[in-house]
Amino acid sequence: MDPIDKVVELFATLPTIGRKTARRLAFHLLRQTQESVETFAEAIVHMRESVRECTVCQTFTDRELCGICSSERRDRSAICVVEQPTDVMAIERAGDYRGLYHVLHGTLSPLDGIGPDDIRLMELMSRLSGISEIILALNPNVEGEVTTQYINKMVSTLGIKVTRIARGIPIGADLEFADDATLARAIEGRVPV
Amino acid sequence: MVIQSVSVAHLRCHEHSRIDCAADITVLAGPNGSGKTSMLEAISICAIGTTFVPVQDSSLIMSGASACTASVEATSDVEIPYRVGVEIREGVRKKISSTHGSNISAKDLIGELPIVALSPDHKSITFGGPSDRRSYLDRVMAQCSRRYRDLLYEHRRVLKHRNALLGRHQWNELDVWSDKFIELGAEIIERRNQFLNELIPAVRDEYSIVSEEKELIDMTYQPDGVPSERIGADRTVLMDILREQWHRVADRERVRETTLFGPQKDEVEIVINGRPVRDTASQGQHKSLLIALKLAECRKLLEQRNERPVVLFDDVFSELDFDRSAQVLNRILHLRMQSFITTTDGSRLLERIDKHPNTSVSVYAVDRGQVELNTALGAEARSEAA
Repeated sequence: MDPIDKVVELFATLPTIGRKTARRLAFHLLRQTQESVETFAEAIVHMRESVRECTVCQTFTDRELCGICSSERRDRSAICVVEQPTDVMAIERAGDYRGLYHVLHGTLSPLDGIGPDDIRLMELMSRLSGISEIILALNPNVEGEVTTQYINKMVSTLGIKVTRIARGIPIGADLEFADDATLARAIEGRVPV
Repeated sequence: MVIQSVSVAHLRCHEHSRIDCAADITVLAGPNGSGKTSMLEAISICAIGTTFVPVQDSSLIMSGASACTASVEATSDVEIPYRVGVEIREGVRKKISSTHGSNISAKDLIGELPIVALSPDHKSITFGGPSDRRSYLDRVMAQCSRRYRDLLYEHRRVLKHRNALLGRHQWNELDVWSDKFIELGAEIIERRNQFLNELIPAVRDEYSIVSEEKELIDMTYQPDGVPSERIGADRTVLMDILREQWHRVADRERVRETTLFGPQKDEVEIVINGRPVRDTASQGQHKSLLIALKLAECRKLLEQRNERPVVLFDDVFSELDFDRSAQVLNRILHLRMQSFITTTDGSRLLERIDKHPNTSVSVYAVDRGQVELNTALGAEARSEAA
């Protein structure tokens, strides 16, 4: 196979990258110096070699314990459960949450053959001593909702408070532009003023 | 909504075709297999993401071409321009863009340009099995309500997950998925019942206009496993009923490895003078009923979306007698809805329309994928009116 074609094919396997973009990326790399391409390739290999899952919260880290799990300043009584490491970054960017995280790396999805043993549920159960609140922040689709209920049932006998994040209108958005499903949920989940 | 123009490329036998549409009636006349229906299908694709005839999307692409496109330019009832274009390519997701953005999903398209289609295939609504009537109701409701659209999608997805679990004998996860299935099922039953109660008066009304008969029409909703006196109960009661039903069938589900309860098994029975239409009605009654159902659909859509639907009649007037088809056409004109009609005999069809000076009619001759404005027939319709 032609070396350019091979790189194009490989780029095209990445999410959100189509053939056209893959070709542009390949030609862009051809115009770079040998050295900078090597730095780039090495960085990718190094990332894959050194990054693993945090032994406690299962997010990606290059250490045994991730920065959040090893921090002294976090509230160790709350765990926020999310689907993916990128969700941790999203909540961290918001900057208001001071507790710990737990990354499931997926949700229950029998159609794809994913059951409770295929996501990090046992790891979650094993770290619940001393925890007073579990916040479930999974995506608002049927798989996320069913996983939320599954976890709720699993921990229901332990006397830990279980909450889920609210659903509704985004801050700064106009009501009239919200879609009907979101609006209906927002009305359903209304709170006293 | 009023459609100004419809354009297609490489759709079935059309290389490139475009029609500019009359505000009231656009007639597509031509021999069988000339590509009349394809133009109506293009409107349907732009309105609900798919054609109204049950075929695979890939069969819409002209042989030898890699993709087909359909686009519509329209104006809403409050005179806001609306454009939508759809590209269908084999093996990849449909590309849909409209005034509201590019890359929208078919699910989000539904309801923007409300349509009501009537084709010979729709006979199955009164003749066919429960699934035909269920999908009639679901289609109308999906165009009326975004929440119902999402609900159907979620329900179908949970049903598939649940069947996958049953197939793999993973009983321990079944509880949570069943809870979700029951929760969504109860909401579907509640909404179907409410909607049907509102639809029935409109169907009766239209039936009496179309058939001029005194028969009593009724539609009874029969949700699977729900006793008739408890159909109108609130959602929590419905959830309890579904849960009881699940416990009754649970053992059999494990043996059969599939879901055996839920709203995907519901029936909507249509009754004429107290007896099921399917078994007792005459051919004429079937036809009147189907038209009444479709006209009621038009009225419901108009009422719920506050937007006049566009009506597509695919080769239906050849099956109706003169009086009945004249009734239908004039009813649509009376409701001020734009309609598109395919027929093999253009001039005979025009005789049936009440000529009114304000009625605008365009007639297109379609032949082997070529579309041409038939000025003679269109002008004839207008001059007679004058």
